[in-house]
Amino acid sequence: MIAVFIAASPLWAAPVGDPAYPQLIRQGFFIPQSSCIDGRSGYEGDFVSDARLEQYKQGVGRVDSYQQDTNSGTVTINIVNRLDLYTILGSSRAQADWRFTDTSGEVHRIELETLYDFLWGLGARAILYEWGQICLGLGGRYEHAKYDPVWMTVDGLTKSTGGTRLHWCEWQMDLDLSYTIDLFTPYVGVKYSNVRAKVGTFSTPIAGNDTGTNSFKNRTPVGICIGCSLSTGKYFFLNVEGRLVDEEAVTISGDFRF
Amino acid sequence: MRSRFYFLFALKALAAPIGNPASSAILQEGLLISDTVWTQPRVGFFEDFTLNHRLVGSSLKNVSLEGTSIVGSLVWSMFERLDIALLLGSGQNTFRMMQGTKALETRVSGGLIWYGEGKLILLEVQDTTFSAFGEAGGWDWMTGPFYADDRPVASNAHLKMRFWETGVALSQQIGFFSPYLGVVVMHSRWKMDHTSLGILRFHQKYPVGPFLGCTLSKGVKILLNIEWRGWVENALALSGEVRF
Repeated sequence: MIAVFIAASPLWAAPVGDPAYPQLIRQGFFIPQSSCIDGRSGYEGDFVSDARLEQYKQGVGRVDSYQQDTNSGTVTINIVNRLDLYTILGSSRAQADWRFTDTSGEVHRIELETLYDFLWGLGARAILYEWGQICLGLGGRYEHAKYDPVWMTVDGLTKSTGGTRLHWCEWQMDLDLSYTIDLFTPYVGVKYSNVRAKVGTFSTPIAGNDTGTNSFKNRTPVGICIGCSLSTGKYFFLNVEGRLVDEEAVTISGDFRF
Repeated sequence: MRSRFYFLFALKALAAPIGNPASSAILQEGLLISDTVWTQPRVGFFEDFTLNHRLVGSSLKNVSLEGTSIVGSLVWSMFERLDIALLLGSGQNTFRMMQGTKALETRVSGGLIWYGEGKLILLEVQDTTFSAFGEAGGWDWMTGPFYADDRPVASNAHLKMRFWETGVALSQQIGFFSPYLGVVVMHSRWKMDHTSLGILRFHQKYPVGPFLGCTLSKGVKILLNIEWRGWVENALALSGEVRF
């Protein structure tokens, strides 16, 4: 089992995927089944309706809302139907909303939305143990994005976003159990994630210490994922996944095997 | 041709995902319990996305609600005809409304969604089923910021909701697929306090709406479902169930 990780810089609360992915598609379009290495490619749409973040460093308090929409392509190298090494290349945007109390005791509201910007990620997942139709899998993933804010408001008044950035990064590890029932492979898992984001530097205060910079992290590092894949074992699979506790998100994805 | 009648007993229900009212007949085999046993449990998971739920409130105009929720279900199924379920979950909602020229907004999250559900197959003719359902429950302990003209005006608003809904649906099994179409009658009441405007109350604008969806299953152990609800609200739900 190999996990590919990089030290933390910006990233998200990321999809987990079915632990049985490495062996879900037995037959591909071009590469023979007997090959010990094959490739897959697909789509992953990840929609986070609440990333459940909090402010730290420059201030305290919840981030009232943090939403993210990501549409990505994925490329996967599969080794002996047991190990997937994959990369994610996509387009993502974020929307954030938080409050802070300035040094004079007044409460302000900040709203921010970014353009669609490039997001990349690397990950690995492996089947640790297989017993009949049950798979126990372990996965890890790192993602990073750097967003340009398209607008920002303070108490409803538009402020300049010139020269500012939202940096986001996340790493995540997950342990999951799947059970194949004919076409369906439902799974459930637990994950640990570390999310860090930094926004700034704005010309107007956006944090409790009256600076134009603010930093966010996830409030709860541990979450649950639940999902189901659909495949006949030939050529492609589809997957839908929900994640809860540490975030609220849904992911829809599909892969075809070469 | 065989046909069976079952009488409908009224239950109350929610502005909540419905699922295929014929799901008790779709899953014919379970994971552990023999299909000859008259009763068996199922567990499920719903993820619901409400894009716009129209509400009406006293002295308030253009009240709209959007939100997401995640709900787990425990279903007790009997005779592959009747389902009794308990559903628990949580989520978030954003309300936007006008009071005079003032734009109000609150974003509440957390709390507990709780409701009971009953589904009954009234008539089954070959692969076509006619079913009735009912749900009733609420959502308590939601909290979140309250804004007037984009300025925070209260520490945290508190919100609770009660609802009921009932309806009928027609479902047709076509291979792996079981599309369904139905009509739902619902009522929801919302109460928001700890705002700068005192207690705000809303109820839904439209009481009746259609819903349609499709279930995917081979009839063994698991099903997946997608559903859209209209008119009363614009909402989409994804769900799955496993029969033991």
